[in-house]
Amino acid sequence: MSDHRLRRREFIQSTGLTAGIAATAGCIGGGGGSGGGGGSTSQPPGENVEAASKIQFISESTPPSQALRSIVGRFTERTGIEVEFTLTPLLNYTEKLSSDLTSQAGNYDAVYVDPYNIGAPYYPDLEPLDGYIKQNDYDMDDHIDIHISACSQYGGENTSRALPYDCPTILLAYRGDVFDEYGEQASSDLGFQAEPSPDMTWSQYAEIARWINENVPDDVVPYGTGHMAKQHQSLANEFEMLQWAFGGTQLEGFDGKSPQIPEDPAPQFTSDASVEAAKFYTTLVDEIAHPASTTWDWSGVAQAFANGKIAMAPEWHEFNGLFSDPESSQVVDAVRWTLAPSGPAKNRNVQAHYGGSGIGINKYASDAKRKAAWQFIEWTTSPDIQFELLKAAGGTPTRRSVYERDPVAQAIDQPTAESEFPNVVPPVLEGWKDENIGQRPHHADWLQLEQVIYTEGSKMVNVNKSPQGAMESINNGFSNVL
Amino acid sequence: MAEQQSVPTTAAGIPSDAYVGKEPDDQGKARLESLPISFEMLLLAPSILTLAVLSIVPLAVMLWLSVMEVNFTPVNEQIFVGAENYVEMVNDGGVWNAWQTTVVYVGGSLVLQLGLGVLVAVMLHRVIKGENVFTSIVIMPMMIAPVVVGLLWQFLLDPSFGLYTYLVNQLGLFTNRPILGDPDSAMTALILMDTWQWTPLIVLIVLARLKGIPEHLYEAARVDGATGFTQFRYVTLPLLKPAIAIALLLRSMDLMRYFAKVFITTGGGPSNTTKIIGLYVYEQSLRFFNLGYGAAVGLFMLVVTVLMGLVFVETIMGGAGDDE
Repeated sequence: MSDHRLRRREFIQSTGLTAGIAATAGCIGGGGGSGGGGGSTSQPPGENVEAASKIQFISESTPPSQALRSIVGRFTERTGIEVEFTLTPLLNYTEKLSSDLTSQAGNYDAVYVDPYNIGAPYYPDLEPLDGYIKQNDYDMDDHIDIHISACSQYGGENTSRALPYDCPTILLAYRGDVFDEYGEQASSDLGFQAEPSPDMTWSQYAEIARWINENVPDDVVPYGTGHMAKQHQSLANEFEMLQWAFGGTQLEGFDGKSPQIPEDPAPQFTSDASVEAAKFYTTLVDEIAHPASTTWDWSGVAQAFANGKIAMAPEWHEFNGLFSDPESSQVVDAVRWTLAPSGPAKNRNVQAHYGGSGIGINKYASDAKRKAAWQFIEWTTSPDIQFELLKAAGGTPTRRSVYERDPVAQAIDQPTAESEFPNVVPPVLEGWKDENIGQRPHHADWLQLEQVIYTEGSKMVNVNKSPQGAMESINNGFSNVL
Repeated sequence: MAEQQSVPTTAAGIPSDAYVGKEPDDQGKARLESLPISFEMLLLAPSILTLAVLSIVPLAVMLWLSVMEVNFTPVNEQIFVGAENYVEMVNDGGVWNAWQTTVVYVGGSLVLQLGLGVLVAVMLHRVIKGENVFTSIVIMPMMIAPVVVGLLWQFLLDPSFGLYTYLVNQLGLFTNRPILGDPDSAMTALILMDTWQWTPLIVLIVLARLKGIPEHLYEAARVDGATGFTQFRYVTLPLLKPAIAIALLLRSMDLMRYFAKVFITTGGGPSNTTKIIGLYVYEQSLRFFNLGYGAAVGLFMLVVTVLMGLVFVETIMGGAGDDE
C-alpha cells in the first residue's frame, strides 16, 4: 500500500477544516475599503449628456415603494426611462446599498435613503442635489420642514443629499368604540377625561389602560395597551419617545428636535429624567400592557390592534392602511388617532416620533444614469405622484401642497372607515409641528447605539435588570461605541 | 493506380505490431508510485483545489481584517491595530454571553437531535412495509427553508392565536408570559424548532449506516444469547459511531453558523438570552459593519468549530477507518 494513501480520518479532518473555514468566512463576508469621501458641491450632468434608458432603484420594501412600483410604468411612458426595482427588508437593503456605496460600484442609481442606516453614515457617497434643485426649479420649500431636516441634510451641511419621500410617524391609535361605551364611566372613576386626546399625559395613559384591563370585558377588548417591546429597533423607538417626553435625552447636547449633534457627545441615560422614563416604561410593559408586548415589534402591535386585542397603542401612523382594510382588521369602524401622550417634561414637548426617509442619487453612477435618476426622484416626489401614492394607501405626502388639495383636506377630517385616504386620518400635520415632534440624531453609528438601547431595554422589561441598572448599562454601551 | 502498402503480419494473419494480450509492464504503476502524492489524492486534487481557492482567500481576508480597524463608513480610514480586536473580544461581555448561549443552544440541540435521530432511524429500519413512505414523511421538515421554519413556528407560538400556545395554555402553562418572550422558555422553543427541522438529517445518516451492518453479526449475537437491547448496545451502537460522528460534525457546524430561526423569531432576545455567536458575528460585521472586530470574533468561532469537529471525530470515531 502506498505511503501516500489518504487515511479516512485525515480526510475528514482536512475537509472539516476546509468546510469550517468556508462556513465561517461566509458569516463574515469580506472586503472593505475606505470610500473616497465626498464634497458637498456637484454639478448636474450637462445638457449634452443623454439620460440613460434604464436605471436601478433600491429601497426598503415599504408600502410607498411597493405602490411606486405599481405605477412606475407611467414614468417610463413619459420619459422612456425604465426603472428596475430592488425592494428588500430593511437590513438587506442596508447591506446591499452600503456595500454598493462603499465599493463605489454604482450598481444602484436611485436610492432610498434611510436617515440612520444610510444617510448619516454614508452621506458623502450620495450626490449633492442642490445643483439639480436649482437647475430644475424644484420646489424644495413645498416640503414640510421636519422632512427636510430629518431626511435631506446630513453632517451639519446645508446641502440636500435626498428629497423627502416617506414619513411614518409614531402617534397614538385607540379604539373609539371602547371609549364610546366605557369612556364616561372611566372618566368618572379616574377623575379626568378618559378618551385619549393631545392633552393626555403618560401617567394618565397608564391609569386608563389599567382601568380598561380591570373594567372592560375581555370579549370587548382584553387589554388597555400594547407595546412594541421586543428586543428590536421598535423598543428603542418607543422608549426614545418616552425619554424625550420625560425630559431626558440620548446624547448630551441633543434635544430630540434637531438631528444635529455636537462633536464628542456623551451619553445621557443616567439622568433623573431618563431613569424616570425607564421606570415608567417598565411598569407600563410589565404590569399593564398585553403580556405579549415583549414579543411584538411594530408589526406585532399593529396585528394585535387590528385583531381587537388592545384598546390603545403608540404606533406608526401608516399602519392605518392595515386598520382600514376590512379583510385584515376587525376595528375598521372603531380606530381613532391622536397625538401620543405628553410630559411630564417641562423643558420640551414630544408627542410624536418621526421615522421618515428620503430618496437620492448614488454619486458613483454614470452621468447618464444620474441624469435619469434625478428625473425619477423628481417625478416620484412631485405633488401629483405623492397624491397617487396616497390614493394607493402606500405613502403619506411630504409636500404641503398635497394637503391643500380638496380631496385630501376632506379625507383628513373623516373617520378611518369613511376616509378615502386612511394615511392622512392620523393627525400627522399636528405631529410634525416643531412643538410636538421628536427625532433621532444623525449619528453615523446610530444603528449600533440603538441596538444598545433595545438590548438593555429588553433586559429591563423582562425583569432581568432594574431600570436604573439598564440605564447605566446603556450609558456604558454608548460610551464603548462612541 | 497507387501501389498498395503491405502490413507485416504473423503466420496467423495478425499484424505483427498489434497488441496481443501481453500483460503490461509495471512502468505505469511505478510511475504512479513515483508521484509525490497518492493516486487517491490526485483524483481528489481538483475538488480540494477548488475548495482551497474558495476558502483560503476568504480566510486570508479575514485574517487581515481581524488585525485592522475597518468600518464600512466612508469617513473612517482603515487602521492597523494588531491584536487589539482580539483583546477587545476577550473583554467584551457580549461575546462571552453569546458563547454561553451558543453552548446551551448547540449542546441542547445536539443531544436532543442525536437521541431522537438514532431512535427514529432504528425504528424505521425495523419497518418492513412502507419504509420509503415513512422515511419521506420523516425527512419533510428538512426540505423547508430555515426562514420559513422560523416564520411557521412564530405563527404557531404566537401568544394571541398560535396553536401551540393555545395547547400549552390548556395545560395552564404560559398563560401570562409568551413563550418566545420569556427568557426561560425562548431558548427551549428554539432548540425544539431546530430539532424538529434537523433530526431527519441524523435519521438519514444513521439509517444509511444501519443498512450496511451485516445481518450475521446479529445472528451471532442472538446465538450468544443477546437480547434486543444488548444487540443494540454491543453491536449496533459501536458500528454506528462513524455515522454519529459525521452527523455530529455536520450538525454542530450548522448550529454554530445558522441563525435564521433565531433572527426571525426572537432577534436574539428577550434580554439577549437567544443571541448565539453566529448572530453576534453577523451583527458586528453586516449590521454595524465593524468588519475588523467581526472578523476577529468570526475567526475565534472558526477555531472553536474546528476543534469541536476534531473532538467529535477523535472521541467518537476513534481510529475507525484508519488503515494502520
